[in-house]
Amino acid sequence: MDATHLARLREEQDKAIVETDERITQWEEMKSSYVSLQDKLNSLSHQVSHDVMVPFGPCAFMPGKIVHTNEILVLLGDNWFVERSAKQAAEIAGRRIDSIEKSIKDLSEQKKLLQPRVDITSEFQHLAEEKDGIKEIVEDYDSDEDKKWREKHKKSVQAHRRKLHEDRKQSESKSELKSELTRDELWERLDELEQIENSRQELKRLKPEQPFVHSQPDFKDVFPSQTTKSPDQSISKSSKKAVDIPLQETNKDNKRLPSKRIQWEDEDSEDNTDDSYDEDSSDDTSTSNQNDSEPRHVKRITFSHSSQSLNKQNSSSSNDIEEESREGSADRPPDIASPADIYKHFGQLTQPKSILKQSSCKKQAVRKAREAEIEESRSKSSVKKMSDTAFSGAILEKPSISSTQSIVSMPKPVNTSQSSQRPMSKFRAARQKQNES
Amino acid sequence: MSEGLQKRLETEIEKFQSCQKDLQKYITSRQKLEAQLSENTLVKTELDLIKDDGTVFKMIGPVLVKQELEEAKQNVQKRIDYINGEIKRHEGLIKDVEKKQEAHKESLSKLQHQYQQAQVKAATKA
Repeated sequence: MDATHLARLREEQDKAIVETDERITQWEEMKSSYVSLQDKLNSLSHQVSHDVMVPFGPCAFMPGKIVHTNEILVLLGDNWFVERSAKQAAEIAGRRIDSIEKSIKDLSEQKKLLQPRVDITSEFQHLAEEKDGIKEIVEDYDSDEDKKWREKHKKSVQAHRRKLHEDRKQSESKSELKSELTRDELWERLDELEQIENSRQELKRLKPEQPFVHSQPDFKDVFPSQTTKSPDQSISKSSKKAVDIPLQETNKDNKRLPSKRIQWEDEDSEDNTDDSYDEDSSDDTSTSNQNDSEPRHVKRITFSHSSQSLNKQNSSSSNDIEEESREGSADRPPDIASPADIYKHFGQLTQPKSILKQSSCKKQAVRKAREAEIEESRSKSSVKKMSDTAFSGAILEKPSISSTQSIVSMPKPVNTSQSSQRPMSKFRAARQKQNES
Repeated sequence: MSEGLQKRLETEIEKFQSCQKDLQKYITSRQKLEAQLSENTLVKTELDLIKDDGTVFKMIGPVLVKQELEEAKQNVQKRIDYINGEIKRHEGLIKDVEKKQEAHKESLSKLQHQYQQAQVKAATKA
């Protein structure tokens, strides 16, 4: 903002305001004169005649009288006159006053509008003079140069973005490599931790008597009492919960390990129980405890179906099974012609251990029942050959419907015939005896 | 060359100035007409207000001539219409003159530019 320009602007604005003011004053004068005229007109009709000094010429007066007080010629405009009475003339005057007032009002509004402009220019002048340390920031603007700059800016922005994109790509590729590296590192770390764990286990093994502290109270009961409890129960419990326990233990010991490992408490914690375990184990091939091939400090579960090991470790209760297996092994060829054959060959291994107590009397009953079954099967071998040998209980119970039942209840009798693992209840045995008899 | 340019420049300036004058004239006359119009409208309203009461006079020179109210009214009305027409005419004229002025302005600026160039050349030569 040039000072000279501002001064010029200010000049013009002031001029406009002055003009408006002048007009306003003019109108005000006219208005006042009209007002006085009105008064006069009103007062004229009060008297019949007025004594006045009549002017003729600019400096001469003559005493006279106004006689026709009520006849007034009014100049309407454009050389038109009209004769009116005083009152009517007063009305005309009044109307003129109104119009004057209106114009005065307009002019005053105009003045109001002009005033802020003046204020602004005065402010700018103030800034231009730089009083009180206020400086004005001036930026030279050239439209052509501005265009050029804008194009330049656009290009530079694009280049920048491209660069960012490339950098990002590079960083991504780097991170991929890194991830591969970290994976290898992870494996190494895992191995390290494994070794640590093993060493720890060894340390633990030095103190086998110490019971493990577990969060769940059940296990406390289990472990210390493994030796004392009956073998079946201990086995069952351990077999059931063996999976869970080691998880806990591993979690407690090696929380760093990302993977969970299943351990067998029985192996590592108490070497004492190994012997009892050997005694107690029967057909639980699901447990890997029988696998002594693996070293104990390596906690790995492997499943092996080795009937020989089973037979070695069979308890006294399962002597019959041994007999059966021996018996059957001679007779049965390894051919598997039907699903039933599977049961025949491997039925021993997969049969679950019964929860019932095996008392001596039961064993005898079972024995007898089996003997009867064998006799029956032999007698009826003419009907069906291979399948008949599998029959047992069903035939004995209801000889009349034996043929039909035999087909239906094939799987059932297989279990009972091949392996006398399921001890027959007294009632059944009694029934069989009855049927026989 | 420069003299010719100068002459041409002078003529152009004169034309431009004459245009400007015309424009001014027309503008003033227009303003005048507008004033008359407002006056006459006022007279009309006054005449409408008086009933068949007073006598109406028309001032022709120093003489007041009596007029009838109706006649006066009609006269005034005519006058108003006439003034309106005049105003319109004047407006058209003003527009034309303004256009002319613009053209003159452009040519004038061109000539001035040429003149300046010629002067610069002359200065370099000399």
